[in-house]
Amino acid sequence: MMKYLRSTRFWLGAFSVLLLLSAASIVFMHRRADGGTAVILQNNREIRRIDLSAVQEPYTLRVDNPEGGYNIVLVEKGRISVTEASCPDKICIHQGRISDSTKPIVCLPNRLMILIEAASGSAPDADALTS
Amino acid sequence: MRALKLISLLLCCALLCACGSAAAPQPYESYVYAMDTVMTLRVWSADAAGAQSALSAVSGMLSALDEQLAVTGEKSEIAALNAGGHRSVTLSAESAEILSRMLAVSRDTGGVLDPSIYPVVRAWGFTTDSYRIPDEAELREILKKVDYTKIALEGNTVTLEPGMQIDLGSVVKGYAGDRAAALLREAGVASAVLNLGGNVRLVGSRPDGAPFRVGVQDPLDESSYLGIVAAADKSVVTSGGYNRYFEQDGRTYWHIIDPRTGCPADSGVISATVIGDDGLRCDALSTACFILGVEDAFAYWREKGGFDLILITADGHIYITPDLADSFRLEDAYADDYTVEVHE
Amino acid sequence: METKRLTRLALFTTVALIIFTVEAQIPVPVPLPGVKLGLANVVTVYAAFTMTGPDAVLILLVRILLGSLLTGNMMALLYSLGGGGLCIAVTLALAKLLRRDQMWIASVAGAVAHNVGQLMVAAAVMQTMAVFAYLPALLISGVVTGAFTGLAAQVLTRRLDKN
Repeated sequence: MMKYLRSTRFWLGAFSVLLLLSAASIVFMHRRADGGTAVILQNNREIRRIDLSAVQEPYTLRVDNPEGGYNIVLVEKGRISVTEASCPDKICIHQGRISDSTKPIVCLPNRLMILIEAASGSAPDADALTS
Repeated sequence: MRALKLISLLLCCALLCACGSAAAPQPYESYVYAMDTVMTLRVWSADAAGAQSALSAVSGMLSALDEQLAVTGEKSEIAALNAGGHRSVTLSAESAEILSRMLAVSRDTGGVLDPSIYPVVRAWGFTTDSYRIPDEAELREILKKVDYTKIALEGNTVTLEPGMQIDLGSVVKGYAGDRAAALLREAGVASAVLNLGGNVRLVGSRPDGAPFRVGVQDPLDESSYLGIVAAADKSVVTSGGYNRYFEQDGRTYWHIIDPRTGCPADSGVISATVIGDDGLRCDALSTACFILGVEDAFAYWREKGGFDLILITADGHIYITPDLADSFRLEDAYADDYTVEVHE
Repeated sequence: METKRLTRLALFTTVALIIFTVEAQIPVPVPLPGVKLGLANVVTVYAAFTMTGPDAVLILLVRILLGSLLTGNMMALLYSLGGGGLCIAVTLALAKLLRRDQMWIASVAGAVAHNVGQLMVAAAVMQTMAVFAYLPALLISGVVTGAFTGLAAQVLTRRLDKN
C-alpha cells in the first residue's frame, strides 16, 4: 500500500481518474430534463415555490435573511437567478441563471438556496391547487 | 407579375394567420406576496397590454387590502382597532362590511367561526411560531374575551370589550378573491385562475370553454392532490390544519381553534373545502365546517345551502354534496385510502 | 521558542498572509462558491515538506485567522478552517510519505481536500446535502489549482534549496 502512495505514477493515475469521473458526472447531470419548478429555501426552510414555465413577465423577489442580509432573486420564464445580494463575495450572483435541477444557486452567508425540482408530473392536469 | 401576385397572396395569408392567432387568448401570469403568502394570478387575454394592466390592478388591490386588514401593521385598521382598548373605532365602509358579513356567518354557525378568537390563537403561539400549550386556567381566562356577540358593530363603528382582539384572517383572502374577480371582469378578462395562498378564485371557464380543474390538496402530503373538482366562475376555498401546526409529545396541534374549547378543532375533519359564488362566505364556511365536523356541517348545508362541500376525515372518508357527484373525482392513487360518499 | 524558529514562522506566515490578501482582491471568473487559486497554499505545502507538522499547522492557522480579519470576511472563517483543516491534514500525511520532488502531488491532494472540507462545512451549515451537487466541479477545480500551486511550490523549493 505504502509503495503505491509513494509512486508518482499512482497519483497521476488517481488524479486523472478523478478528473474523468468528475467531468463525466457533470455531463450526465446536465442531461436531466428540467422540470421548471424553482424552490427557494431560506435557512433550509422552503419559503417559495415557483412554476418557472408559467412565468410570462420577469419579476424580482427579495429574500431577507433574518440574521441580516438579503438577496434579490430574478424570476424569468424557465430560469431563475440572483441579481443582487448583500454578501461580500457575490458568488450567488456570478452563478448566473439556473434552469434545471443540476445545481442549486447557493448563498452561504445568507443561508439562501434556490433549486429547481426535477419534473415529476406534479399537478399536470390541475389548473390550481386548493389548500 | 405572377411572382408579385403570389407574394401578395402569401402575405395576405400570413397576415390572416397572424390575426387568427392574435385573437386566441394567451395566458399571462403574475405573482404577488401578500397576506403572508404567495399569490398566483393567471389570466387569459387576447390583449397583452390589457392583461398586464389588469394584473397590476389586482396586485395593487391585494397589497392595499393586506395593509388595511392585516392584524398587525401600521396602516392596518384592524391593528388600530385591537390596540384601542374598548374605544369605538370607525372603520372604512369596506372593512365594516367584511366584519359584518363575517359576523353573519358567526351567528349562522352558532359562533364556531369567531373573529375574536385571536387572543387564543396567540396564546398557542401560532402568530409568532413559538408554539406552546396553554394550560386550562389560562385558556379559561382568555376565552372570557372570546365572544362574537360582544362585537358591537353599528354602521361603520365597532366597539370591542376590554381585552378583546379580532382578526379577519379567516375571510380576508376569500373577500380579496371576489374583489380581484370583479376587477378582472371589468377589465374584460373572461378566463382567470387566482390562487391566493391556497384560496382559489375562478373567473369564467378555461378559454376553450371547459371548466377549470381544481386539485384538492392531500392533507397528508403537500406535494400531491387527492382529487380534482371541475368548476367554473366559483370560489374554491379549503381550510386545513396541516397548513400550520406543531407536534408535541406525539400529538398534533393545529392553528384552527374551536372557540368552544379554546383548543385546536377536533371534529374528525382534516380538510374542509367549500365551493360557491361568494368568496368571503366560502372562506368563512371552510373554517366553520372544519370545526363543526361532518354531521353539523351538512346539517348547516341542508338548512342554508348555496354552496358545495368536500369534507375529508381522518378515518379515510371524503364526504361531498350531491351536486359534486359528477364534478369531483378521486385520483386513482388514492382509491385504496379514501372512500368518496355523497352526503345528503 | 528559539529565535530562529520564531523568525522563520513569522516570515512564512507573513508571506502566506500577503499572498492571501492580495489574491482576495482579484475577482475570480468562475461562478462557483469556493473556487479560487489558493496561491497561499504554496507556503502551506512548502512548510509541510520543510518544517515540522505543528509548525506548518501554526502557520496555516494564524494565516487563516489574520486573513479573515484583514479581508473583513469573518463569515468565511468557518469555511476556511474546515477546508484548511482537511487540507493540512492530507498535505502533512503525504509530506511524510513523498519526496520533495513529488511536492505537487501533496499540493493537488491538499487542494482537493480543501474544497471537500469547505463543502462539508456548507452542508452542515445549510443542513442539506444538496450542496454536494458542486462536488464534481470543485474536484476538477482542486486538481487544476493544486497542480498550479504545486508547480509553483516545486520551483520555489528548488530555488530555495540552491541557496
